[in-house]
Amino acid sequence: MNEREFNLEAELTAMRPKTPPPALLDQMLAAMHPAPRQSNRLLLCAIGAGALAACTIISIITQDQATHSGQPSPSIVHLDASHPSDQPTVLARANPGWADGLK
Amino acid sequence: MPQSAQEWRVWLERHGAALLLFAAQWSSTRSDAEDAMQTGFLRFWQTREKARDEVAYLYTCVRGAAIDLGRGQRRRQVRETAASLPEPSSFDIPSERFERESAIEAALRELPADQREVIVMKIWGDLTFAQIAQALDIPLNTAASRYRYAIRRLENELSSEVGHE
Repeated sequence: MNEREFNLEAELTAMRPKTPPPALLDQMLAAMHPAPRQSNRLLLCAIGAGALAACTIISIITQDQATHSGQPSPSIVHLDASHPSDQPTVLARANPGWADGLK
Repeated sequence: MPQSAQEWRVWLERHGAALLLFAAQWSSTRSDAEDAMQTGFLRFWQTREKARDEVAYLYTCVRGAAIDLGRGQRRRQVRETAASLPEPSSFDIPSERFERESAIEAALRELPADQREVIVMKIWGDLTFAQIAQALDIPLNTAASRYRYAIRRLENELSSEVGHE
């Protein structure tokens, strides 16, 4: 390049292109991390509600099973010495009516 | 290249003017250039892992977005050309330099598109010839040659204008 071309190059470098409007930069930067769309939010809520419902159902079922499964709690019933079985203490079922039948 | 949103803001505030000027080389209006810049930047952000050189790739994406937008706008442009107002300058020109820099901008617009975009990338984008070659997918020597031809053509055009005055 000759001297005039070098001078023109310097003139060009000194020219200032117009800056983009701040709102444009804001939009560009916002697009880098888009907010979840409405449909995604609804889907996430539905999944969360379903998971919560499943946990609730499972806890109800396991609690119910713990209540009704296995032998009832043992209770100690003291009988009178005059009882024909002559056993002062009998390990009985947790049915209050059953012990009353022996007295 | 920046990573966080804040770093990108700083980078765009510094280099955004050149990027917008570059988008304007393929756009018929400033509004289209802004759209192309935004679309191109988003395209770059979503696919930047493909980039060997992120600056070059960003320019590639903005160029592609501007060309795509221009294709869609071409039919509308034919209808609106007769009624359109002249586009404002792409430069902030001080009043004392108005005549000279307006003439430079007009001569720049007359350059072939392939030379004009290299000038913009080199002068205002501050890209190296290697980055320009990568962005345009051309050999490095071709990028350098287009630049030299563009400068020479601009100089001849501006000299002939001065000669006519």
